[in-house]
Amino acid sequence: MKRRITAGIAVLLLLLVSGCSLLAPSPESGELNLVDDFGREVSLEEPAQRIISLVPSSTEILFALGVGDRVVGASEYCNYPAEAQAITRVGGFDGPNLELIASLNPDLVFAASLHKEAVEAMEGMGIAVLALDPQSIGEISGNIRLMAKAVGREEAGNTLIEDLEERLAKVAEKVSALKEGDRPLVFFEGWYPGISTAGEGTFIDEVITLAGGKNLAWGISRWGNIQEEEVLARNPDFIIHGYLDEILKDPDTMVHFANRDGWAEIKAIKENQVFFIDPDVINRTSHRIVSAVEAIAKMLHPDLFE
Amino acid sequence: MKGRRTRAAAFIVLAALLFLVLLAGVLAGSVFIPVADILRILTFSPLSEGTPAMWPAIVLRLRLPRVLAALLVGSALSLSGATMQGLFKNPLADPFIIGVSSGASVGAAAAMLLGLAWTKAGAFAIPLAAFAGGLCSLFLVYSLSASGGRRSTLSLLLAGTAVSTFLGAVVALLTYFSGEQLQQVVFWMMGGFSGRNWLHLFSMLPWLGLGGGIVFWHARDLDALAQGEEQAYYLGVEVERVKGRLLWASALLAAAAVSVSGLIGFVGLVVPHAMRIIGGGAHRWLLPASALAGGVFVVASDLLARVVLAPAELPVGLVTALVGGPFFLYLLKKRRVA
Repeated sequence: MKRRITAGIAVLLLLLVSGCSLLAPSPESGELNLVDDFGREVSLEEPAQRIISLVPSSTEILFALGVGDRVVGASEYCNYPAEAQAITRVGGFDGPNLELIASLNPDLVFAASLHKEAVEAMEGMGIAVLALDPQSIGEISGNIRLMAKAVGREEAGNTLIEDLEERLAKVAEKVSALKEGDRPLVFFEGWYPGISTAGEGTFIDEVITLAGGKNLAWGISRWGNIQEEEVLARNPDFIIHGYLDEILKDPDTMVHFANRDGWAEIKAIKENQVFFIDPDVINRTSHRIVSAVEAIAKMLHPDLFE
Repeated sequence: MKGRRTRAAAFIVLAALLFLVLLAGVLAGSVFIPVADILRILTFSPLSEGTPAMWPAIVLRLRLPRVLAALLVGSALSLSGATMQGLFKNPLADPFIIGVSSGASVGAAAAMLLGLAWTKAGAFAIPLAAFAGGLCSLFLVYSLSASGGRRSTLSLLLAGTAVSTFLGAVVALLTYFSGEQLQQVVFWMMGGFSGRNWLHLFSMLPWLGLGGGIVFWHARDLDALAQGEEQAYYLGVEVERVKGRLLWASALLAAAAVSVSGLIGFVGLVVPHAMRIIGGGAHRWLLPASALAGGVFVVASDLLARVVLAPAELPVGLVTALVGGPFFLYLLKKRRVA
């Protein structure tokens, strides 16, 4: 009887111990379990040391996390910060060059939603890939957190997110006092003619709202071509052109807007409220999008941001 | 042989349709403006108190030139198509058969990549570059196809196809390197009238007048050519000279139209065919009927392109292909049954 009881206790203890070890993974294995924006699970044995970034925004975030020197391959569009331009190019408009990527022997690749096929191919080759697809500025913070974990820089990630949120909060504090009527109407222009604009559900729409403005492109979902007569009829207070960076340098460009037939009547042009913004800052989903919010907030409300 | 009555009736119907689509094109749009106000604006009558200041600009500076540009482009393209089909005695011929569209695309894409629209040339940079590109490709085809002072339609067709394909590859190469401007190039190649103003319209006119005049002048010669070049020669047509003139004139029509609108396909192929089904192949009927019907078709397509997705808009070339294709098949089927 006694022996049975001791045996029972022993079994119970064993179960307890093994149960505990099931609940809490042993600390010495140190495995990183990551889930990307498409619910794909990736585990790394240790923080990534040889990283490839196929997206300019990921490259920017990696440099901001202080691991730029670990990026061994980048896309042709990865031009920020300046050091990123020296990284081996692994693909441009025609998509990632898989052979080159494999030859660089990466332990982690950052991709975006548009790289779907390449992601599957790299998976097949046994390369760990995290595909990012942020839909809002809030989700950029989530991306930063994920990337920081993957490279073992969680502290730096938290600092970056805190800085981002603090700067957003500062802008929000100033523009939150605005009444609906004080929010200027902003027309964001992509290219002209066949005028493309950022409609509802785009980052730019969110940036304009956060900066204390109202996007003129209601009724257009995502990127689309708005009709010229709608721009005239809705009569924007501000025009922000964010497409060609070359024209940023040309002070005469304003004339083009006023020269368009019928546009001289638009409030923004009458009052000389036409601005340009660096397309790399406003179109990329990195922490730098805060700079776009700040820059546009200053354009729209110079009196609030002196 | 179709009857004179059918053709007269068709002209009346086409003229009525043209009037209707022009009116609808100005009256309807993304922004709602009451008909009474539009009529007041069009007749320069005093506007009632409280009329938004933008309305006159929308009607007179955007809608009216846009509708008229669509009319001219549609007419020019289908006139050019009718001529090419007669000239090549080939039902598959269209305004772009000798490479005008690919040449124009190379010009337009290059102008976009170089950012010429933001230089002093402004809104004319892309049309000018496209027009020049279209004419260059025509010149290339014309000189490449000559052998011993003569140009057979076959060698013109072959040279046209080769130059077209080559320039198509150049466009593809340019778009490949265009990065973020890619969408702009692609959009231009789908055609449209957004941002086209009175000056664009006027800049097209002399070329359309010249090309159209030459084509109409040679309507009877086209009938003679349709019976074969030898017959035409015996009928007193200076075959080589007339062929050259017609080729240049119809290419000029296409290049001028495309330079303003971007590529609008299908019009130049389908409309002349439809007119041939309705009233026969005599060019004194076919040419004016195609011009009228082409105008109606593109103005109506542009109206659709503006209304369907408002406040956004569709590329017109997409609408012409989507609407024109099924309609053409219907006509073909109907003819076979009859």
